[in-house]
Amino acid sequence: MSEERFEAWLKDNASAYHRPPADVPREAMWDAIARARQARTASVAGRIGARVSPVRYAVAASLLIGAGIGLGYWMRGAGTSTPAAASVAVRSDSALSSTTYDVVSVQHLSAAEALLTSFHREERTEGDVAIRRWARDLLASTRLLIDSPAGEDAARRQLLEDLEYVLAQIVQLDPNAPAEDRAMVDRAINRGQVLTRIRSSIPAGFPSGS
Amino acid sequence: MSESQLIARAIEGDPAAQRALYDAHVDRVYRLAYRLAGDDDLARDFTQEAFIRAFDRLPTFRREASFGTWLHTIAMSVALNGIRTVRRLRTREVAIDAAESLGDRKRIADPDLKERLQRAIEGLPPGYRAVFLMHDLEGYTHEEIGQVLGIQSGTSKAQLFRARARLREVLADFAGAWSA
Repeated sequence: MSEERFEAWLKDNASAYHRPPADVPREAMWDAIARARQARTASVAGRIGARVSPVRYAVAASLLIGAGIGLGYWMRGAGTSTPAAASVAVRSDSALSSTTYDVVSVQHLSAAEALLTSFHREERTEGDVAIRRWARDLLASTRLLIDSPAGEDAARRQLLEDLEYVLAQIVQLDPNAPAEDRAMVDRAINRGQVLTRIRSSIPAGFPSGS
Repeated sequence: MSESQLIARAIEGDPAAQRALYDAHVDRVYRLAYRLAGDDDLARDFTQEAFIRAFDRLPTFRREASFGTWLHTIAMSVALNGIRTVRRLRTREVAIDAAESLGDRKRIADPDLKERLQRAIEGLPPGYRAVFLMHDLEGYTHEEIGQVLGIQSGTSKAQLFRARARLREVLADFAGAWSA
């Protein structure tokens, strides 16, 4: 009896915990989904000859990462279905897959470095909107990478997770937010030495994303 | 048009079919994401990410479970991963901030029921918390929870039992409120 009373009391009182708003922002979310999916498709056609603006660069990087991850998974799939006799081929497939993830990771981190450097440089201007859009694209790619075999490397995963947090903060930064909010993002970047770690993970000679 | 037909059309790239699938499931996915995250921006992010991944992976959907269950599985994975990351980094920040300002501790010396309950739920292990929120607050059945979280429905029941027991223990100060 006491158990039932507790359950009823708990349900009653816990219903206010993280209670969702009555109106689900359906249209806003659908627009964001459509934009994100269109950006991926459009970047295929727009890549050749396009002027490399930061946002376009991010879209192109997302595409490359998506393609790289897809290729990596495909390689893994091919590896698991190959007969044991072809183990040499499997090893080379596996090595190729690993290299693919390494390349897309470096490519991605290079784009992230460009974004964080721009964020550091920019004062609060209308450029913030472009940076937030850019950060949103990179955030999606970062999450893809974390969930992909690229995230199996512990150090890289840690870096990607720290980057994910910083990007999420930039995305959520209100354009009219006080300077302290912006400083908080800067502190998050500095505290985790995110920019420094990104730079040290990009091999010398790799084309900069900025 | 049946859901199966909608899925077939959505795989072919029909935007109207994709929108129909979205409309049929978005409210439940968003509500669950919000319950887990407690933040509109995060709930939106998780919901959007779940649908983007679902539409991308739709050709691999094998119909072993319903579309809704499959979509919820993706959404839970996105949300739990996202929350884990945010929590870990927020904890790190709070630890540093707490060292900088010790005066804030006064605020939690005498919390009211709402605050204590909130902290008790936050303190549950992630698996227990997810089952508790899904079952007691959002009305999912143990079968649905089992499919979404990839556990047996019996495990879901056991986790809910343990979650409630922990909450009861932590909230023992308020026993008069339910035993009266």
